[in-house]
Amino acid sequence: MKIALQLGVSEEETKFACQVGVEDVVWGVPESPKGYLDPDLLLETRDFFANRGLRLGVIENVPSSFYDKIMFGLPGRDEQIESYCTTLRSMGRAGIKVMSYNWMALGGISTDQIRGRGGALKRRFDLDSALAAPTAALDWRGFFRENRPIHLPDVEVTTEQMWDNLVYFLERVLPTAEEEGVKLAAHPDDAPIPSFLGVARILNSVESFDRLIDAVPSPSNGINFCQGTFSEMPGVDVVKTIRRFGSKGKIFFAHCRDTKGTLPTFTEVFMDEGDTDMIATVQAFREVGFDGLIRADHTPWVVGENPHGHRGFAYQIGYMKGLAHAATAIEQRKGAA
Amino acid sequence: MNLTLTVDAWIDENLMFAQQFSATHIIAETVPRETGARWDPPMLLALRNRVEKAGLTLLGLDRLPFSLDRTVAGSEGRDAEIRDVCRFVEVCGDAGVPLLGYTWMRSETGLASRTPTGRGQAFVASSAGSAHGKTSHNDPPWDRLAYFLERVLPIAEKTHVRMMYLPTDVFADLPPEHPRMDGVAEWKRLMQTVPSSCHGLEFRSSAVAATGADTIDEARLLSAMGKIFLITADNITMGSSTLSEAFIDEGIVNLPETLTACRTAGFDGPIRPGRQPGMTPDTEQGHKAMAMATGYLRALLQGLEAIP
Repeated sequence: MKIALQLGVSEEETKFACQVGVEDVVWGVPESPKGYLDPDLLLETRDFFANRGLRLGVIENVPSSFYDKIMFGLPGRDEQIESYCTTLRSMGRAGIKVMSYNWMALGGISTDQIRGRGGALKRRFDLDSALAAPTAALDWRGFFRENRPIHLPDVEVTTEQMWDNLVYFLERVLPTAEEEGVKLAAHPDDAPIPSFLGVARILNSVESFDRLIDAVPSPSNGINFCQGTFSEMPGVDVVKTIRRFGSKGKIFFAHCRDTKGTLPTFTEVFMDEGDTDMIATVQAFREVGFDGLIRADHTPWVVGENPHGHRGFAYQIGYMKGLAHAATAIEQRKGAA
Repeated sequence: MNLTLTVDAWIDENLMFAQQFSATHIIAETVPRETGARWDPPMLLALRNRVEKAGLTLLGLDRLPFSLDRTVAGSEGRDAEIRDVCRFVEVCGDAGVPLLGYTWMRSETGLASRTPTGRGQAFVASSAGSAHGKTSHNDPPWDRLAYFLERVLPIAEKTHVRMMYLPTDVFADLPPEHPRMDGVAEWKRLMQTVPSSCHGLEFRSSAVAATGADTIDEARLLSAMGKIFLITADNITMGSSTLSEAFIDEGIVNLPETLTACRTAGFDGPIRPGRQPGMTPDTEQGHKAMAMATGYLRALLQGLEAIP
């Protein structure tokens, strides 16, 4: 597997990646009135990174405005599906092979930040707090406060309706993805609760990912294995779950982070202090032959940090490399024994 | 092993940084709190207290806070210098600071200048040398070293302070005529010159690799001798005739195997990341690069627990 970072198109961020020894890049797409990514933009972005020695391997999370009608099953979804297919064709042309997406109709949900080790700020989710202050929970990044009022749902969507909407989407985009050699990697719902404000959240358990994979069989239908989100699910063994999906070749992309606690309350922590046996996760990814990108995910906010969070990410990348080197040493010893 | 950082412990941000990035122990840079201030017992106690208040343990001081120029040169005035050292060792003992580093270099020695030739154009220093070892010039002055150690080590034993020899930095800008102890054989001889349980070494992986020695073998041997007081984990890259600074995860030192060798041979002491290449932009102290190196070591230490 290849250690990656999500970067913006900037000299400072690419230099950081090169200096910490990362060669693979994930790009989060900015908002666009077109509702799709045209090939020129992707080619230009791919080349920007390539000219600095970096490979753009994953597009992560097109704006929800590109597919919100699809998630809610609203009129206009077929036009959005056609635009989504245009994006996939653009990716195929640019040689970008993985599209990570989520099916969180209301986005990520979190509640507050608490002080952790050395006073670092850590993201926390608490179900009671989320229910008591839903607007704040939906706007935990503060994007909407800054830019526009948050749009609360004016419809209810049941679990089965949400599954129908997801299957409707997959049945129509996966043929294009297959043609273009692009893989769709679904991210679990964070927080993995069953619904919020009457809108179902369906990718919230190991079994839900079994259902996702079985619902529309395709070599392009798979998972963005977010370790952190799986670790938030009560009773889930992250290492076993990597083996479960990885052995089927269904992990296309992964996020590396860890948490303490599970629903209804959990806190996102530094990679080295969570509940998961991190060296065992690396061993499991290797055992199943995962050769895709695994990127450093959210990190607690540390002292003297810059707007990109580079101190925190430097620590995470160092940690991921250390895990990889330790896993290699262990394998060599086992091989020699 | 205890993950340790060397920082200016008078600065709160540095202690927060250490704790956030999983260090448990601190080796303080010997930076005086005020210009011209002397290191007296109240000052050292205050330092220890502020480190402990931050939830960390003050393990020691990275080096003596005054020069040994006359002692190194064997010139007039060395007895006064050595008396200062002895007094300072007593101060450390009284303050419960159990580790004190020393070098055998002139105090004005700097480092080779850095150029943006490292990974991602990080700034690195380079030095002539190869995997067969840096060129050593003159024999170390064993008589002067013995003179120093014979006077200091009894005080160290009495006050339970461990004196730790810091090998010459691979990239120290030393004049050719300067005697240097660049070889593992010399470090071992140093340990035998005045045998003492309070005298040991900093095992700096870059310095060992630069001698051409096998870091894994030497780690095993020196750990078994009980002479490693601190591991400094860093790395170097090797050209046909030059050695260059490197990030901790690249270069010729196999750190997982080196640390495993130390652990297997009984070492259970402090380990710290060594100096890292200069990232841009970063603070003068290189916090970003140090964060990466600390994360790397943290994972190695956790991962190597899985090795039987």
